Amino acid sequence: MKIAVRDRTETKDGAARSEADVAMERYAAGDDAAFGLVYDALAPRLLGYLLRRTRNQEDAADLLQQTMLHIHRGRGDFILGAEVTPWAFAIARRLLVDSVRNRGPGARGDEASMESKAADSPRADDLVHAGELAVRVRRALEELPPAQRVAFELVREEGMSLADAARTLGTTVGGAKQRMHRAYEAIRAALADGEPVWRRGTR
Amino acid sequence: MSLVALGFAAALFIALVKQVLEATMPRGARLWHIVADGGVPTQDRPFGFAVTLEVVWLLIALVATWVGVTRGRSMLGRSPMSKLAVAVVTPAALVATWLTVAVLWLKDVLPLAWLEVMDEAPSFQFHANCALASAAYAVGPLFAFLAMRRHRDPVSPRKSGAALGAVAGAWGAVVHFPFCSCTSPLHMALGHVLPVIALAIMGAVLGDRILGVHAVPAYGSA
Repeated sequence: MKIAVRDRTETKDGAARSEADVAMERYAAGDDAAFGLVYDALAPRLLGYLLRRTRNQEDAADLLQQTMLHIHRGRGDFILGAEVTPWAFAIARRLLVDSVRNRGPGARGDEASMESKAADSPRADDLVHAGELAVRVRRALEELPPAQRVAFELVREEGMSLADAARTLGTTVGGAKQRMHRAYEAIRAALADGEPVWRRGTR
Repeated sequence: MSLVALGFAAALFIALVKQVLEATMPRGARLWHIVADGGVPTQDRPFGFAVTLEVVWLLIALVATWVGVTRGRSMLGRSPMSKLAVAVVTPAALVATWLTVAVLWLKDVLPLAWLEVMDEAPSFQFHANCALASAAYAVGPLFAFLAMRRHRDPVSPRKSGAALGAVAGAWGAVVHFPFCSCTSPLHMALGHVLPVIALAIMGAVLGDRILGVHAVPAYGSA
């Protein structure tokens, strides 16, 4: 399980700012060239997040472009000092949910079913690189309620802080922490189970 | 911010039109405040009571605006719970402060006078006129707030809409209160606070469509 590392810089007041935040501020201030920096800082993480959800390169790329378009449209009222990453992920997540709803009655479902749909099976690279343990963790994650799984993935896989994940999910830090805790408990239980993965798959 | 100014300008324009109509039209044909003759004992509202309550409600509207409209330091705005709190607490605060100020100013005539006032409460049309006027003042600011945040809330658009509706409703109550001479509890609830709740509900309904972030349907899909 990878953990994203964000490049951070110190501002005059000592606050840590990511490169994406600094670039977004420049872009919001009218420096059009800074959009490339914003894109480079955000797009890989957003695309990874969207790919894991959609399992479809084309859909993920389309949603990424829409996310960046929303960021572009919202640059005029970007708050100086605000963090761009939770905002970008929140937009991407909402677009993802909305895109499934737009597909019509056959594909329509609530957010929970949509997010569950994104993880029908463990990723192949997990199977190859992380082995049985990773598969077991992944399966434990898949069985989690979507709210807990997304919180876990935002923090563990996207490298977000709890505060950022809470803002992205529209909950409190305490709420995000509780979801994380429950996700950890479920994973711990799955790891303690010790049942071979191949047997689980045959049930 | 120009949108907000436009919204409040619309509210003031409505107030101006209302005053002109009231001043120029025959009493029986007034569009606003069609108060039945024969008198509800509300015309002797203490001036201090009216001014104090207006100032207090103005403060409530300002605080609600600060919490419900501004986004703090985050592009995602304040927490959904804060937005929900604005939608719920704002009308409750208007009621609570009205009750407090009324008790302070009218304590010498309480509780009997209030019961009498309630017994002689104005007609339904009187309530409806005040409710309509309060809502009319609030609609401009509401749509200005919604336009300002159009497609900008990916997390909780309904709660944002409810908060914006309550804030707009509070401003409607602030603008309209000086024009109303009634202190009846029933009238305050129906004519001045109910519109705030209605605006909050309206904001919540419109919020998802107007404030929410929506995906463009993919090519070839329905």
